[in-house]
Amino acid sequence: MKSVAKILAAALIGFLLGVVSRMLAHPGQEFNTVYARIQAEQVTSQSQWLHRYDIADSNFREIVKPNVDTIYSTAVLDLAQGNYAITLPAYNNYWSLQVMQQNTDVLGYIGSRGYPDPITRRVEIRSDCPPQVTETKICANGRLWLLARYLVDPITPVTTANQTQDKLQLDRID
Amino acid sequence: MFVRFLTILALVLSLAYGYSVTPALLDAMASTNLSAGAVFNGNWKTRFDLARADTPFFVRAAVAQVGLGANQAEEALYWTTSSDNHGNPLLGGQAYTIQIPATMPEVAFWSITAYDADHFLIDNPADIYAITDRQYGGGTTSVVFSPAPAYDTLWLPNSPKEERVTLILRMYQPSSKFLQAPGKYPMPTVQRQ
Repeated sequence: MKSVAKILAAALIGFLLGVVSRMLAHPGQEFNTVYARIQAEQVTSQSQWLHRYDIADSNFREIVKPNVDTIYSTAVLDLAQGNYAITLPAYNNYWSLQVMQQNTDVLGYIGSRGYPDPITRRVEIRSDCPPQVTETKICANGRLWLLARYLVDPITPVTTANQTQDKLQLDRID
Repeated sequence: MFVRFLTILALVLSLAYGYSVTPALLDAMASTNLSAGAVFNGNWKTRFDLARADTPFFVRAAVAQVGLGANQAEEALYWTTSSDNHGNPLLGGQAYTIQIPATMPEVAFWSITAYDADHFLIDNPADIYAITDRQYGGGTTSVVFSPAPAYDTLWLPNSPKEERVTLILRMYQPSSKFLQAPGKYPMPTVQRQ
């Protein structure tokens, strides 16, 4: 009986260890999957920003539970390769740039919530400063996933949002 | 000696098994909307701890599985319900009334979007996937959530299939007042017809 209990206990402990270790690894794994996919598209399209020009519909399968409020532009970069600068064009409605780290935590935002003036902004992304996100600077390490969202509604229809997306820039600065 | 061998074998095999089934476990956790630590208002649940450094590891893992790219609470709240007012599962093939209260919480804008059992937008010939605040002028409003079209009222298509469906109420840029007391504000109700 004791032996059986020992074996069962080992099985339970092993199972829990397996689950916990996978949970800890999973966000990074999912980030890597997305990073690789976007990076491949960046190479194919020779464009740093990848734009989804349409609101999602039932054919959209890239991510689960997509919203139908905003359209997306996305890019990935690796600060180990150098520093970057983004040009964020003016947008006369809700918009946001979400900066995600390799563990999928959001480092911060630049968007209409913190900076409501619809002006064009140039933001440097650097690794030589403490982690932060401000109106003009994103400081981080390693690989980042940038996700820009633009609200589509009667004030800013899809065509306006698309024109804004096309003005997004991401350039190496060193 | 043999018992020790079996013990180690059990540990290793179950560890590998636990590792392999975790994505499915995360799907199941997400389907229950991760009640531990959730914020409730009526049938709706949300979390305030998404995408942050202090997010619990199991929440981070579940969000990576079913909601990668989710916003932090100050940017957007995701209220989810998979049940009606009586706690019964929301099902495709059924008709419901979503009652929008006269005064919704103070947010920049909101939407209610419907998803099928695979967490994708519900396929429908009208290409309607959500109801938004921009579609009506305010006041109490009824929305019919059904597979068959509704006329003379707002309509959100439900799945025609017998499957579990989910509604997500997205609130963008919720006010700090709302974030401090999210349970106090009236929220939409979902009543089976």
